[in-house]
Amino acid sequence: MNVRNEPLKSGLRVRVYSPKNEKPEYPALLWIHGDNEDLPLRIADELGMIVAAPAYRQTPEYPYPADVEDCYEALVWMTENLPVRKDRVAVAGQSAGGGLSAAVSLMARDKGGPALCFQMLLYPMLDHRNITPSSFQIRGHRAWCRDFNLLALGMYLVNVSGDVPAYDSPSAADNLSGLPPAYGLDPFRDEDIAYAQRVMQAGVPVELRVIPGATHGAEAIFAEADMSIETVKALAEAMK
Amino acid sequence: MKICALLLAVALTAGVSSAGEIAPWNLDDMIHPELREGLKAVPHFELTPETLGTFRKILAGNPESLPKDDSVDVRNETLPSGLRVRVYTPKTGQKEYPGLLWLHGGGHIAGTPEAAEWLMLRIAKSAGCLVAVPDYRLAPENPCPADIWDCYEALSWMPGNLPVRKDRLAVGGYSSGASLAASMTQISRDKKGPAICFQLLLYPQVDFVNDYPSLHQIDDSRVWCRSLQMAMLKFYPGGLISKLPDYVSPGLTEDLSGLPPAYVLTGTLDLSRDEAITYAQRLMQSGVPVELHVRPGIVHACEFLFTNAPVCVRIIDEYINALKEALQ
Repeated sequence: MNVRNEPLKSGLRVRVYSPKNEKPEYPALLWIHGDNEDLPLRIADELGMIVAAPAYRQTPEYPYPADVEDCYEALVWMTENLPVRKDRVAVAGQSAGGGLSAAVSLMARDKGGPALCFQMLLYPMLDHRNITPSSFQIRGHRAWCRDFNLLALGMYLVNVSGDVPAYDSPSAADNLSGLPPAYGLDPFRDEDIAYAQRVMQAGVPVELRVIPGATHGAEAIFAEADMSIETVKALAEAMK
Repeated sequence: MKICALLLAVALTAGVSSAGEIAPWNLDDMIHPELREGLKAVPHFELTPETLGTFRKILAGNPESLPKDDSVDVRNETLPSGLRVRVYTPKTGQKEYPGLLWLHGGGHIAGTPEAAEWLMLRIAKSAGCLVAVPDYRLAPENPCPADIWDCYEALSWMPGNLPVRKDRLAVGGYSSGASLAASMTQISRDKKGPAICFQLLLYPQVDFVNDYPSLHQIDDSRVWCRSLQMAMLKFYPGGLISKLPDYVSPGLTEDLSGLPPAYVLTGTLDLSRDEAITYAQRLMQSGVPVELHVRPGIVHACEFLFTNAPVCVRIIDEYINALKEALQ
């Protein structure tokens, strides 16, 4: 496995994981991180994929839309500068990264950017409103919960007034047709189910799994647990 | 019984579709790649009073050549009411087994316990449980809710008359059978009947709202679809949706708290997709542990149409495994 950092002209750093075997082209994944490195390493290794993870600018120093733009820049850079198969480019992320993955998918569609074959939304934050039943039911500070979410969103949306743009809060997008096939794994439960269901209703093939008792970010905490195995499996299936 | 007002409001405005004008989808393009060839071979079907007999024959399969498995004992029991229950018991010589009440699908108007004998044998063997399948009465000869109370009779009969563990009793079924299974959990909760530890809801059609987007998008009579559903409604439940007997539309029940943990399966091309997701989500919101799996490119009751397709094998393995874990 080769792991290296690539600085882009804009100053954005992209961490690239590539398999050591020599091939002219690889299927590729834009990985919009959570903090852990286990899953991108595993995906690159087990699935023989190039994984590019942008160190996108973060809140509160850089509020919306800095992060979405950085991720999109990394996607375009990856498809133009790395040896990737153009018909096997996917985007994936956890939590805020899952929301950014959905936003990047919308942006790529709208700008006529790189064709994505798959979007993997792992318990994505998709909706800034925090009005669903689950956003009230999941409390207590041991796992990601309502209070953390409100605090983080308050910092994130500091520059936004009026309607929240769809690239921040993909649930706000009216038109969800023409998006790449999706795999969604909960628990920002109700907003994720609602988004997945709307994407299905727009005719996009979606795999949605809600696992009982799974707390937010469980995948990062239990790298060997069933959920991350399922995640790698679903990605393998989609990249065939 | 309190009925969920919001869902019923949608139901009562049927005709003025809240789903708007939604064009049916082309299933040949959208179905899971492993099922594409298989779908081409399935004939279209029109359901009418004249073709109901044919429909029943198709669903019944060939009762003369049932699959066999030497590791499972199969026999029929007749209850005092005359209700027949087909019982599958693993030949592992235990004093007691976890139990499953399985309710077959068929739109409340067709289907037999023997029709899915292959699956019953597999469940009994792989999950190590005793499976009881009532031959409940069908509409229109036996109007709604005869089927519901036959199923409940079988459920109530199981613990005292079969070697089942009283704390390891599950219900399950597909399509209309999943609706009946959901009804069993609610009746048992309300009447303090047998404790149910798990519900397996496959492609559940749990209310008679019939106005979700998925019901407009899926209209291809090679699979269970809008036109077949609309034809079925003339036989069952019949009459006005606002006056249906209790438990006929378990998805409209307002209070879903205290129901057993659930596994809910549907597909993006299942006409009951949106009501399955809605019910699963309402169960979650009521504090019920729910595993929901929506599979891309999968049609209603897929594994009964394309039994040997690899994706169908994966579907079956996953839910038998969920059942097995719940019954441990």
